[in-house]
Amino acid sequence: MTHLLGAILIAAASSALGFAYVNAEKRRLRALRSMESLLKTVAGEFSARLTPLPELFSRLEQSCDGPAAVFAAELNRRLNQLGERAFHILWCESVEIAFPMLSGEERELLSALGRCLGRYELERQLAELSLTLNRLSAAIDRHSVALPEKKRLGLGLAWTGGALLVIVLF
Amino acid sequence: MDSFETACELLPAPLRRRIETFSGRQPEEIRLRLHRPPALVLKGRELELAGDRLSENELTQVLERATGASLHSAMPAMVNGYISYQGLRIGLCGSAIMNQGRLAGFRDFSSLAIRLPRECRGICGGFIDRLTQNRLENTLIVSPPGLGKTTLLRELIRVLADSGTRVAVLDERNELSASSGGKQHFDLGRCSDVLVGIPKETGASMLLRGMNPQVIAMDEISAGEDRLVVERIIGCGVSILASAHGRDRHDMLRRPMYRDLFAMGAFSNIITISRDGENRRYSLERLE
Repeated sequence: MTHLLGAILIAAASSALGFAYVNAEKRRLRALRSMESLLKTVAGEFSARLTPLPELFSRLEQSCDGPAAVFAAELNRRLNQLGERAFHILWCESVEIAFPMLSGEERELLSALGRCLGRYELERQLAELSLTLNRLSAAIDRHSVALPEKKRLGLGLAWTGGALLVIVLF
Repeated sequence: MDSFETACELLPAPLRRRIETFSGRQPEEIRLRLHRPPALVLKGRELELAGDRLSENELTQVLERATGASLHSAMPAMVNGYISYQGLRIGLCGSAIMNQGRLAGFRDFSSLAIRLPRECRGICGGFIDRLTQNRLENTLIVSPPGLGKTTLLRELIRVLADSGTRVAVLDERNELSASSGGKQHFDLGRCSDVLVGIPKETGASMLLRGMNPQVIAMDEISAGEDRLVVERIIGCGVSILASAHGRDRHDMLRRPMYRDLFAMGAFSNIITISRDGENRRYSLERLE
């Protein structure tokens, strides 16, 4: 009876590990998609209305979903420190807080944009936004294609590991 | 909050602390140049402060504060050589960016000049009666940059508008009223109506059609098309109160646009501002 209970607990724990891994991958994909949507709005507002960043991020905080809304809120809150701290530092801090689920490389991609936004002429900012959006889009495609495989792999590894542990222990 | 405090708000804390010690001396400008110590213009003379030189980072931080980290939004004004921040005019120098032969903006900023406007009540007391015997006669205020054309124009508008004259203010660069969030930082009198941020040509038509003004006031007429605006306003029977860069009447007569305007009798009076030691001297001259 104890062995059976132990086996059930191990199976449940390994399943939970597998699902947690899959969920983390899904959260990452959602975060990338939400940031892609935010940056598309930023590019549109820049081209059409030359909207200043404080006004823009104040609105994005209300209109965005998911991690992008957290990012917009964090950046908006920090913008009153302008003049004391450089914009790109405030941007990078907000990226770190809002996107812990992204890889270092993906966070660096978003952070790099902060070094150009608001600082240069419109054309250069739009070119940088376009470059970042292209890279984000490529990352989203890679994740979307790899997600089913990762799901199978993550759950398979977790269950196999759990089964092996049950065999070894009992 | 006065303009000096507003300007200090723009500066990073260490720089602000150095400059705030001069608040009692009524600086006219704060000048920030890359790799030079900051300087203040006091009674027309530039005083360089002792201590650290300005870094690129500090200049960038001032600009980020002034534009809300949104140079793209400030670019349309920047191509005229300045940006506005709550009634301050911030002049810029740096490397120009040209796009298809047109100035598209600046990068690598090297100098900022923060001009500090102020209200000087009573400065037109000596000649306001002579300008308004029946109604305001068309008047041009002339002085070199930095001697207070805008300040005098603002005071004349206030006095006229408070006396019951309907004054429509065509504030293309938002320097006369310093409006932000629907509020005017400078008092332009009870009968003034202010149109902000619109080219003079379009704005004058709107005011003439919609606001039934007795006087239209505008700062710095200088471009060729401004001549047509002046002609249009005068042609409608509305008085004009304007300012222009120049030294005096003779200096203005050397320039075709003003020569033509004077020849057609567009202005009845010229007020010239000059420096008299540490003070300003205002001279009213009637044009025949």
